[in-house]
Amino acid sequence: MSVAALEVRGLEVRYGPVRAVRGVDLDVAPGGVTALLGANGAGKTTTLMAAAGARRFAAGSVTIFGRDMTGADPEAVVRAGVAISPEGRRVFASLSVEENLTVAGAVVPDRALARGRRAEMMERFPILGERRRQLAGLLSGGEQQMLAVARALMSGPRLLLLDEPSLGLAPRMVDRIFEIVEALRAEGIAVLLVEQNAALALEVADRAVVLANGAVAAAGTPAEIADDALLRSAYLAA
Amino acid sequence: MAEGAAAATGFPDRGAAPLASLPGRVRASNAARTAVCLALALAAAAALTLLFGRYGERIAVQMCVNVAAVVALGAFCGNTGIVSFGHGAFMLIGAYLSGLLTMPAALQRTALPELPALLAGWELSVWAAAPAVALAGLAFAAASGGAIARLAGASATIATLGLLIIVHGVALGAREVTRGSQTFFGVPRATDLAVALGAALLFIVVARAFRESRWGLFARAARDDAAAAEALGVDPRRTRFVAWCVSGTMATLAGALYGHMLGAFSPASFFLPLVFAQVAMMIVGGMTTVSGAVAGVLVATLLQDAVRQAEGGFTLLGVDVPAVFGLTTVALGLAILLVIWRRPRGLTGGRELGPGPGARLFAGLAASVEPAPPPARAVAAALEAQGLSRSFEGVAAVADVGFSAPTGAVTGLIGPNGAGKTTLVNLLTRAYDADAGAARFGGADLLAAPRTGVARLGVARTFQNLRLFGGLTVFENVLTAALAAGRPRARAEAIALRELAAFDLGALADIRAEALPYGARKRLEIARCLAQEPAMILLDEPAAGMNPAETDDLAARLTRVQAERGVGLLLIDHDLRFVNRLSSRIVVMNRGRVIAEGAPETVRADPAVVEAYIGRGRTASHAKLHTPDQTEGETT
Repeated sequence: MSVAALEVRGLEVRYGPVRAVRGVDLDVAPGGVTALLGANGAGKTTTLMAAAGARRFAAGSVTIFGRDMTGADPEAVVRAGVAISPEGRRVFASLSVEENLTVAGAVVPDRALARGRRAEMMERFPILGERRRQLAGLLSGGEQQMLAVARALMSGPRLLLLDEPSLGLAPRMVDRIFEIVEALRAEGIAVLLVEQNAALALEVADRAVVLANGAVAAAGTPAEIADDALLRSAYLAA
Repeated sequence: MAEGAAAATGFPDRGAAPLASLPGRVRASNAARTAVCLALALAAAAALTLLFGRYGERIAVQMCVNVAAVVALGAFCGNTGIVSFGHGAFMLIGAYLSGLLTMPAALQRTALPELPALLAGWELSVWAAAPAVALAGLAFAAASGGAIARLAGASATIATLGLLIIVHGVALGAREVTRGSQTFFGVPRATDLAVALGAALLFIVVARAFRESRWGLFARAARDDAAAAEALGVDPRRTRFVAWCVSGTMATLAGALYGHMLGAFSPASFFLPLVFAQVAMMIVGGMTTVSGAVAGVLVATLLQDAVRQAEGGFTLLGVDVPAVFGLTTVALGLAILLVIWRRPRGLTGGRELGPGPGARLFAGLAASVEPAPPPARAVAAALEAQGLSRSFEGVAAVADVGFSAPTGAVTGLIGPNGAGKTTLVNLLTRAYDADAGAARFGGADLLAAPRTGVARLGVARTFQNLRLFGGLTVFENVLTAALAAGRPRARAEAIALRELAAFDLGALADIRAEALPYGARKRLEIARCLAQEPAMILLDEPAAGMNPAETDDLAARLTRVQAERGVGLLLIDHDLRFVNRLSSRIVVMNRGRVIAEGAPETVRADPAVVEAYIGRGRTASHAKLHTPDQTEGETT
């Protein structure tokens, strides 16, 4: 049994007096895909940002590939092989598509490798190749979303934290994103996938955790979650 | 659902107080917050005078003059978000003009022999001079405001600095009026504690009233998001101009107050050291609020006074520390750095001190306003575009697009990412200029309208990437929209209540928009837009990021509003289940062009649409799974 890509135990995050996340446990197996599901405001993004070191938490532990990363800063988390595609299309608006990818590739020590990855991203997301010289701020919302995912992949992560990758994407593009998640899994890259689109997320995931009001409402295999009618109607509305 | 939403977001449920009493509670809270500011100033002045006698009274007078000046400064900076260094110019004008009008005529003849006849020999009382001073301040604000209001952000700040330097230079040069760089003396020392305190309290009341007024709300809305303000018909330039005029007039009077405190001064008295100190006080306290301005002055006065004691040299633990000049300025500078580091929004944290509308104190207030009934049904009209085109750097984002969307129905607009849907909305609402083509709504030419005129033609929009007025509460966001549509205050409040209830935002009404959870933000954008009672609404991905339950809830609310008011909706979304359920017709775009148009079933079956947009993968199969309920939904 190899060591987990991500292990979160007893995570607790507070916003002032509000306990946004309450005792969440979460695992991502190496090369596995864990879906983190739940309604808006359930604490999914907060959990993901805490695991990424971008949000301080009151209690709990985060272990990444066997190393204790509790309280580590985001840079240390990235160095441990983690990439994040945050919610809300945080692209560098005044840089071109290509420059966005170049900046993200700056963490790769081997220049040729970084160039290769950049070319690979333009292939995986053909629309980014077409718009390589356009300023990222002038891309449409969905294109910015794709760029954010592509940028996260530039560092060649072993664990990818994806926050709502399908937000604002056309159905065809949503398919594409989920194909990419499956391809990543085939390459042995672990993924923590935060999604509203529960039905699709459950298709590609091998584990699922459902949050409600900041706590784990259910956890199990996608089949278990999908078969639980009560769970589906109460939390996933799928 | 109200409790559910509040519980799910982790926000305390404030549903206990009825929505209908909200406007009354907001008014009560506003009055209480003004009272807190007044009490702060009053208590500080009383404490200084009672504890330190004559010396304390001098400090108290200086503090009250500073309160008046910084509150005046904040009336512009706080409401527009632009830091101004130009208010020293207003203070200079006020001090010199009031000095000239009130100084003894005999003294004036010796000190200023070449004074132009217009200004000479008035020898008015301070009170008689005040209206002329205010009028001069207003005239100067109106003259300079035209240029400054055109700018935003850092360029506006630089322009205000330029204004200060120009006025300072003119004052130095106009020897016959100001004695140049020499001391201007003989100004009656009329500013005693009673006058200074009275002025400080009056300025607090005026600044508070302006901040909560229609124009104060517009200015703060434009500060938080200029594009969204324009879409509501609020012109950010006009809001900046109004705030500049109000604030400039107040600053001119504060300058007169300062002049009558000093008795003798030179242009340097109103230059950078003074301006810097006042800006520092404002930022330390919290720029966006009146209580921040008051608190900043109080803290800075105490700090400056303590440091001034030290400036002359002192003995610490047996070590003699020599006299250091300029220590007060250094201390203020350090205070700014420290405060910005620990509390980026100032000591008051960007909130007016005092109880909010949700406070228990106001829970007993009776319902003052009933939610407005739904507006009359929108008249039959259509949003029509012909040959609309726009390119960016040679890429045709929208090319020769023609379509029509009537009121009283929902028209879906779908297409792959980058197809030009949002650009089309931006063209129709004048956010971008079209290269070619025409767009009309109900006979009015949309493309001839200014950006802020589209709302008046009855066309409203929401934004894909959420553009809320983050510093305003949920209620204020919606109220601003209703006021911007020209409704009187009471009517606007009733309309705001109606939209808050329609979109389940009542329990969140006094939370700032920036603190809202995602789903509520999306609903607020639609509620804000409906408060203008438009005939046609362009919704740009209203359901993006919502789960199926939230999307269904939104669909139900939109259906109800649409049926009740007969508005037209142009609905952009990628959730096909959602678009199919609501739309009677769907327009499909790809690469800037319309590739298909028709009933949902026809469009769904169109091979070109499937190829470009839907695909044959998982998403398509999931969308098809739901086809049965969705056809039921359409017939209802």
